[in-house]
Amino acid sequence: MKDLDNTYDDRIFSLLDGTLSPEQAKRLMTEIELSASLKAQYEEAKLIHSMLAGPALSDPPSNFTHVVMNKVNGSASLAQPSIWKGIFLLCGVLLTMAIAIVLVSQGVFNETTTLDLDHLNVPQGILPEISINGKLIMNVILALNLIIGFIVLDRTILKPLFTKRRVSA
Amino acid sequence: MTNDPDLILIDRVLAGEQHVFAELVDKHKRYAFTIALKILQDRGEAEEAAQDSFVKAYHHLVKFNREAKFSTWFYRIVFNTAISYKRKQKANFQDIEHTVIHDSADVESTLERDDKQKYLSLALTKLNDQDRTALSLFYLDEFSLEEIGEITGLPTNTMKVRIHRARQKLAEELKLILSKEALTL
Repeated sequence: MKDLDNTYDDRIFSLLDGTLSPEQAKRLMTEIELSASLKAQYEEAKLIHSMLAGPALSDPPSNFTHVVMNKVNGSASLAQPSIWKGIFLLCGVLLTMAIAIVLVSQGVFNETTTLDLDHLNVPQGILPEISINGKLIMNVILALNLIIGFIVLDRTILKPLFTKRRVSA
Repeated sequence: MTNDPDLILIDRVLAGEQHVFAELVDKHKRYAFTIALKILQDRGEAEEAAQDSFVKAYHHLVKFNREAKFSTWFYRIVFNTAISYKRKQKANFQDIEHTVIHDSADVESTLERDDKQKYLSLALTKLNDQDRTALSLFYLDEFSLEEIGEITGLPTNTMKVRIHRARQKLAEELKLILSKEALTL
């Protein structure tokens, strides 16, 4: 019996929400007209529906916007750096890369250093021989710098530039 | 080029016109406050939660996905902020029931509509937070079931079932309240 009530409850609320098809709504209305208990259930659902659909929005205090704007102004401004700052940052990244490339091309990092672990009191053959290739490390750093340069170009120059253009359009 | 007025305002804020954010606040403050109030059942706390939500939205405006609807994204922030306030509220052990009874004392025996609202508010406090919020959002008429699902982080079908069950529960609570009321007459 409870399941039957629930099924009808669902259908009645769907009817009140306007989500039943015209045929389904008509059929249900006929059923409601024919059954006193269903009619009572329908009246109850209608009452709840009308109560909930009453004055729904509440008004915040009149100074609400003012308080929010004070809080916003008091905090740090949006993380959107100026285009000029971005250009300076990009120039810095490019300059660092240029210096590194000149140094690499002059063979400053061509030497391969081997870590001397002989002074450690460990039997020979246990520790591997570690060699450090300066040129390889510099190339990795240069590649990372290049990625950083692209990110700086995108986030601090291109993105704000296109946003400004879109707003002015 | 978009025609959504919210996106145009967001672009202007992002371009450095901070004061334009006030227009967004004016536009969404009633819904934000109402959602927070439905969850928290306390005007002071709801005001604070809604204000905090606007500040959070302002700071995350850069991350806002332009493909999404601003209102849905923002009301989700309001929903989550209000829920976290509610958790703090519960930790402070405030009895909502007493607050409601106290508030309703001045409106008692006025118009029938006020009585209905009083009983409805009382019955709503008996529902759990999720059911009350789902029901409130549904009857705000602003949101589709899909949007309510996005705001509360629940699938649409779950939301539909939740709203149906919440209404049934509300009907039972109302009957209980009214029968208690009748006994005291």
